[in-house]
Amino acid sequence: MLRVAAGDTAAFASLYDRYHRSVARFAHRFVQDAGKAEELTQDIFVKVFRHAGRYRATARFKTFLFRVAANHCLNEVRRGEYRVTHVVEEGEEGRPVEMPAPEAQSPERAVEGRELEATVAAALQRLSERERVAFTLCRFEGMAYREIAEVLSASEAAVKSLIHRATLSVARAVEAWQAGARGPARSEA
Amino acid sequence: MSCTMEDELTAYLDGELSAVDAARVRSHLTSCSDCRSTEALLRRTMTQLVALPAFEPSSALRRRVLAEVEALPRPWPERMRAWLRPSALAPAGLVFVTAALVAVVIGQRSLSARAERRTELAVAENYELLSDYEVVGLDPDDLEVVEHLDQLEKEGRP
Repeated sequence: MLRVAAGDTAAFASLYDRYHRSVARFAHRFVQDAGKAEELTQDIFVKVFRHAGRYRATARFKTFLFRVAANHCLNEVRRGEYRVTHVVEEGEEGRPVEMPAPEAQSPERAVEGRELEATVAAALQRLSERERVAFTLCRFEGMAYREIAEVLSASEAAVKSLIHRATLSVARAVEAWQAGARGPARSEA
Repeated sequence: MSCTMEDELTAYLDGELSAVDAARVRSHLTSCSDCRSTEALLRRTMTQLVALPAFEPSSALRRRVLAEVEALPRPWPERMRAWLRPSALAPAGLVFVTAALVAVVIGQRSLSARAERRTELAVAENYELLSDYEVVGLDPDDLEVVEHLDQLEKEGRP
């Protein structure tokens, strides 16, 4: 990171290669649109390059990166630059692709997977901004509560509470979707 | 419902509780059906979330990001290093040496031109004398000889 701060673009490219998927996934959870998620990811990495001098070696780089990412995503969403949509793009050459989960091989499972994805995405939009950041970092990036607390400049107790409320809220939404989607199917069968 | 222990369930499943607190939750779950139900719901959802498709950014994004970064103005340390690179220093050194040589040559020419001007001035000042002796075109040593010709003639007499 010190090399990046000195303007070393090769070192920056290595950082990009290592972390761009995590940042893109994080941004995608915010805007639910592949093109917009890529725009946000590009902005975030350019910001990291420009402000690399502010990085202190006492913090983990991933924490610094997601602090930049979370602030940028929240600011852009607040400014209304990125309206949330729930469209899943068709894969084309050179375009972002939604990778199917291994379980979603059959058409029924694929549909179910997309519906679950939409249910989770909708539930995420109902969370507060801080809940959404904490939930996304915990559930999809596997970050520890302590690291998330650093990203959000909050206490671990506060993060614990944010993650619990968010996870329970998403769980209730998924439960409701399953009750609606699978309930009638079972009774028909 | 809402048992006071419910707030601990997510952290319990995430492995974020201390050993003592985790043991307390485990013990509580054996006696609280509401918390058992919530814990099962949370556990099920966490498993489903892990299986969700992950967004994969395009390869074109890398090119765009690196191109934008390359186009940014370089920070000072990077600029300094660029200036101190041998490939940049060698031409600069060559220019410096050439300039020094040119300065020396010009300086020497200027000195000889000044000496010539001094000679011309001396000739002008002593033009009458020189005309008398028809020695226009002599150098300053010759002029000195001419000036002291009388003495020389006396000394030269036998």
